[in-house]
Amino acid sequence: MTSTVADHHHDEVPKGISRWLFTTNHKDIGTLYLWFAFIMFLVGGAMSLIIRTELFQPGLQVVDPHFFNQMTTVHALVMVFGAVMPGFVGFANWMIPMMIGAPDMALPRLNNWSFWLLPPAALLLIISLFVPGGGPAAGWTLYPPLSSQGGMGVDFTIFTVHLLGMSSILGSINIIATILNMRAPGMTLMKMPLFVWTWLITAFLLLAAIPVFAGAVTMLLTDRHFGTAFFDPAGGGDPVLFQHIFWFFGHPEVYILILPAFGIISQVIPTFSRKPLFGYTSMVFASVAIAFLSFIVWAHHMYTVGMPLSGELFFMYATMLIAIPTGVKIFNWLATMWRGSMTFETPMLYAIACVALFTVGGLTGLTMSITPADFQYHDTYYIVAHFHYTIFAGSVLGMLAGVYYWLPKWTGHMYDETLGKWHFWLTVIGFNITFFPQHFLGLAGMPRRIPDYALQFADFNQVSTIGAFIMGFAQLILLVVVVKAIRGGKEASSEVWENPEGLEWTVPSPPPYHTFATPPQVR
Amino acid sequence: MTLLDATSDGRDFRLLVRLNYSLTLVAAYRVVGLCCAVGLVTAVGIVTAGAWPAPPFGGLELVVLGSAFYVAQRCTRVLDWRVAQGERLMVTKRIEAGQKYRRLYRHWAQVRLSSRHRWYPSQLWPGPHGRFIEIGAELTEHDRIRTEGQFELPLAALGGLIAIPNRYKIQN
Amino acid sequence: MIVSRLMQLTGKVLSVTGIAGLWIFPANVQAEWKVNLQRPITEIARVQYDLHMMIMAIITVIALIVFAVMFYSIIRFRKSKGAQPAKFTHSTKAEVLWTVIPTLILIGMAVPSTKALLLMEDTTESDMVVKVTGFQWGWHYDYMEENVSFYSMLATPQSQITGSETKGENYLLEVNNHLVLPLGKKVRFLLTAKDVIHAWWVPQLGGKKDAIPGFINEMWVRADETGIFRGQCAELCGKDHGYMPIVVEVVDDAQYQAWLEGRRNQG
Repeated sequence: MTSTVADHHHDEVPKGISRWLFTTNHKDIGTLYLWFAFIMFLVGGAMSLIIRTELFQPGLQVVDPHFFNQMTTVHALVMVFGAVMPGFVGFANWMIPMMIGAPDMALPRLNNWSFWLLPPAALLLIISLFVPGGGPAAGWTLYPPLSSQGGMGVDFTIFTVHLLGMSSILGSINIIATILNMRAPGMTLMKMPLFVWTWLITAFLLLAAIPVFAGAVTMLLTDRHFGTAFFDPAGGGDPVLFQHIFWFFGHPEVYILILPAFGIISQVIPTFSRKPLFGYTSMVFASVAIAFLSFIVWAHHMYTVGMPLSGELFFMYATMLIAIPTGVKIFNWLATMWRGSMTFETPMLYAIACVALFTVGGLTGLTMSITPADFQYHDTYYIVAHFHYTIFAGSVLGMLAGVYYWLPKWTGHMYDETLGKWHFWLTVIGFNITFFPQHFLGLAGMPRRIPDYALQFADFNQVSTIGAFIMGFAQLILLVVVVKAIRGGKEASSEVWENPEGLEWTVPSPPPYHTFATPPQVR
Repeated sequence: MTLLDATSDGRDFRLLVRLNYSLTLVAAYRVVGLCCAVGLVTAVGIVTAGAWPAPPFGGLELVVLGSAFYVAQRCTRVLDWRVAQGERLMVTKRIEAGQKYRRLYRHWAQVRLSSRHRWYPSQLWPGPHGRFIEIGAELTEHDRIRTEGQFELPLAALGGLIAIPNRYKIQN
Repeated sequence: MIVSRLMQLTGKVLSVTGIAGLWIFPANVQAEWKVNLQRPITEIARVQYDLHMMIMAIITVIALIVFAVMFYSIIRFRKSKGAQPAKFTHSTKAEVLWTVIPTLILIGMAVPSTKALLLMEDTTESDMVVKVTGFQWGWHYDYMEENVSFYSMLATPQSQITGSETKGENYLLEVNNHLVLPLGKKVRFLLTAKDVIHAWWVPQLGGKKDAIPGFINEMWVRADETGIFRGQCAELCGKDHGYMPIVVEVVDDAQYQAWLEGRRNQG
């Protein structure tokens, strides 16, 4: 009888706009994060299509060079800070409490706040494009003295970065507190799903990296307006200092973007291989090793600034070391698939594509760690190809695997498998058409961030642009798939897949507004 | 989370209200301490490089981290523990500083839940008229609502832990 | 204003993409489809090229192994073929193996890389010094011992960029004054910049180096053959970053001396 009463309260979901504005529910906030990330993904994608359209052929056709630079800059900022990071925080909000058997996040009100910092920040960044002088045009790395030259848009960007940084810090503190403090009885650290592990590590990386970035952009701000000369050589400053500080943040940042995807892949592959994850312990340690190494390799982004020889050697060796834990992860996934019993639903397709294409990105990354060779690769399209193979093929495809994997859990309905497969194939084929030729462009000598290029680069650029349009428009299929699944479809069981592992599959689909009223027992 | 322990007829029951806690106090100190130590080392490096505006942001962040852990830890150590035996219901609220309690007669006890569904979290007030005591401030909104339900019908309150199907066993 | 700008942009995007297939322009005539580094003409560039080829070979082999295992698993262990899942969760032997083997490969790569780096950073015993100063948007070259200095800027006319005129063969890779270097001499470059960071890069001569205001960076070049070699600024430096090419002309010593003489008379 009690349960009747309790259930009566149980399903009361607040309605209307205030549900979303004031929500402290981890699922609502997760949903908000995911939608925000998806919108930003489309916005950033539209910018990349402007870039690719301009690069379709040599000469200037669509935009002027200054606007082109704004597009490359804002595309990167939107994708990194607006799409990928919030997307993963959305996953964390939805899944971590369910995976560790917690009723909610540890600090629900803080959670609400960390989300609602994002929309104003994004708005500020978009507005910056329309203020006099235009938006930031110095690349997402904001290197001074170039970034000191920009107009008001750069200041907007600095505030945006501060807001986004604050949001990520609050989000990650919440995640750390939740994971460490709210685990169900029996859920020891080494029993946590790998997604929870990678997010725990990511959260610590964010804690360490973001304040450094906040400091760097603040110094940029004071240099611009308050007469300091941290980075201004005329005042005795050091422009290279900014690069050191930026990449001290920036390199952990790239692992912040990839580790949660590794976590998702480690959930998806075992499910569809019907076999437990191979080498759980080594996966955890590999993630920790990657996180540690990420703090001592930052200068491999700046081999050409003229470091002392000893510095170049140190950063080369340290960077090469990262290949080892990353390799361990890839081999472990392969070993999970080995002698499994695989089926290929959309999440599995995305997971396999993610592993395969991330391998390409990882291996080209290895070539860049070699300092002498990097003098040729640095700042060319080879780099552009490399980081899209890691961030798009790694992070975004991993995220898409997660979306399809957990969508039935979130909505209670199976998604449209046919549309999902269309989305997959168009995305992956479009992606490769876009970015594989860019390796060749870079090697042949095309620098990055140029709106116009010499004639010998024309052919591959054309191919690349065609691929970009295929890939870009394919993402609208995802929107259709998600909306369809929300509105109806085949009811999903609580397990959804065949014997998946994890506490999230023990609750109904969709899970009740409040998941674990009493803690589950982990045996 | 709310743990309920009741005799089969439901006349006597014990209700324990607290958050999940999987981190001991010592471990919490260690985590925060480690973060501070790493932060300090990084800060020294960065200041030496000449970028002194960065560490204050790190310091600010560590303050928030510490506060978050403090809040989380404080919640776990606040125990709202109600015991009912026969006609009497005792509400004990234990905080670090000591404990507060009310002895209530079951028939006179009321439970009030204020401001449900506003963005600000609700408050749960059991007690006889005029002598309420707030409990469960550290719970999530849902748990508070649920606890109220359990309170309202202490006699009927039965149940236990929901068991997870056997299949769920984490390897290693 | 915003709306009109967006509409303009959309119109342009549509017009370019819509008739994409129909556009015919000179680029197609000289289709090149180059896929690898440009042919090296200095020792440094050659070393880089060899390193690059070696690493590419290694990563290709690794990638092929990974893909082979992956596709074998995909084909062989599918449920539709009645594959029964195995139960194993780890294997210390395998895990040690795929930690140790990559480590050995990395050591194998580190040795030649270190040697190459030592070679590249050795700017001693140079025959001459050229100071390169980047500015928005062009280069200034100063032959410090010869008392010769000049500016070098883009020579491609604006009409070719906007498309009102056919694009020339060296579109965007032509300058008004070539940087002339003597054959076989070790030239030490001192790089700096006037305003923002630039990077001086001629792929065939070797790697790039940043030109940073307030700093002086060093690199060296010894060209092994005569000819004209083209490169570009490689660090985003503002609006016309894409329009500051570098053209190096390597000539034999006699021609070089004559050129210097001519320059001095001009100056």
